[in-house]
Amino acid sequence: MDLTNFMKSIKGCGLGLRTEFLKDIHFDTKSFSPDWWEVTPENWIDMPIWYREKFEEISEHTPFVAHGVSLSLGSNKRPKKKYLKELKSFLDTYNIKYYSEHISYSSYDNVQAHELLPVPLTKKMIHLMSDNIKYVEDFLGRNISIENASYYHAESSKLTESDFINELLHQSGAKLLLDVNNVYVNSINHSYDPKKFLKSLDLDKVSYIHVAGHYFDEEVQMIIDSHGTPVNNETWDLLQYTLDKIDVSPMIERDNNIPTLKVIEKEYKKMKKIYDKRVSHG
Amino acid sequence: MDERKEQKSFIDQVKGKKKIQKSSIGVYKYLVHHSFFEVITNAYPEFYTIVKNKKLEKEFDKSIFKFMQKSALSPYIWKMPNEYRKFLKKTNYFKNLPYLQDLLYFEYSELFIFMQKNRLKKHYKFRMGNKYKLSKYASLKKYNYDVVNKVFNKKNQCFILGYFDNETDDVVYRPIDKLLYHFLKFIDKKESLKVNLRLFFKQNNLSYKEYAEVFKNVLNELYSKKVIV
Repeated sequence: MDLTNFMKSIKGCGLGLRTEFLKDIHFDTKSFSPDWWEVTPENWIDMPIWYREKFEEISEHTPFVAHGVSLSLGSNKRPKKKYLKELKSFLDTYNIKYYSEHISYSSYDNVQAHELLPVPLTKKMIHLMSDNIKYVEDFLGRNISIENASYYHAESSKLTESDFINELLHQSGAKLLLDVNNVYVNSINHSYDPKKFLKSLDLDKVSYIHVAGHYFDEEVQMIIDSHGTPVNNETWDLLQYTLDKIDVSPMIERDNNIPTLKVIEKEYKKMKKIYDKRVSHG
Repeated sequence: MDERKEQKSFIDQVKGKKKIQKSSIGVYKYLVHHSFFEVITNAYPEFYTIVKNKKLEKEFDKSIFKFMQKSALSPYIWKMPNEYRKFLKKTNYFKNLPYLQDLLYFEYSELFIFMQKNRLKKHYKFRMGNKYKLSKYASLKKYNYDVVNKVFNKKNQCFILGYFDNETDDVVYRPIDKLLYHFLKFIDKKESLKVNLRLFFKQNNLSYKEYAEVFKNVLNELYSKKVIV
């Protein structure tokens, strides 16, 4: 499968589509709409009819990219066929070509944790995850991207994080969904230089970029990747830094404390400005 | 190094099966618990109010951890509350709340009704000669407590019909009488409503003449609400 054009048909900047935005999305010339939407299949596969009509209308006007949260690619069990069938049907129905997941696991022995858990950074884990990725790609008939996750605990590691990611991309053939907020969060929690880390990644394999908000949690004394606050300045800086190096699309993830579309539009415009500046440099 | 053993040990700590060995693993225990807690308490607000009022928070937390260990199976997070309800049914948690299953079923039914996937059938004129059945998106249930009015200090058998009201864009619950409850359970699409009604009345030794008109009016209204389709 040819990966060179992965995401090349998706241009500009994206936003995560949330049910809270639906009522404010219109298609007249004055209304705001991002260049593309990212949708989380787990939130939409079972959508009630009240949402589906609007969802279908949006899909006819604006490209969709899908980003999953429950495939659990680092799990000891392969993703269940029943779910993969539902996922494939969803992607096919809405003509979604691009699908991504995480470098993590969220279930073990098929029991869900509904949280992205850190995988041991070892060669054996790369092999196990690559197998799962190829299995998913064959089932879905699509190449997928995998996202560098934030982590608060480092399992026993024989490889550095960037070596692990680069080798996993190489062995699995997947692209990298680069979350620069996760890079920032991890760099603070685990004391490393985020720009040096970015430089060590195989940036040629990046399909697109995530940015999101984080906060410092007093109780656990760590930065938490919450997706529940506006994007922080440090993350904007890392986005700019990355876009100076590669020509890919960024998008904003917001999963908690969802603001109105009007509010998120302001953040989107900020991202667009950074993105356009990169384009003009190019 | 056995990666799978390490993952198993990690997840056992996160889900409260094993003692936390490092504070960084404790962060995940906090995050995972928080996510389950939020979803379950949002789906069951009345249940959680009772938990707080009766100071059952510790038991609630224990039940969540136990649930997390084996019974959260669906990748769809909106299905988690129902998985939790079914889990509680098989355990001894909250054994001093005899109305627990009634309450949880009632609260979950609102979510279930709201999540209906398909546009209900086009509306044709109601006829007793046509074949109808209860919509799969309606909730028809016999409760042992007055769940609608949240009266849990004494048993009070009631029959509740829940459905999505397209005029108010909201889930509606209405108490119905026992006869109508059993009739709605009884009807299928093998026979017309009229034939079903006659069969039902005969089986229950009821006078068709006496009740037919009342039933017809009620069923007509339920058809207009798409409770029978």
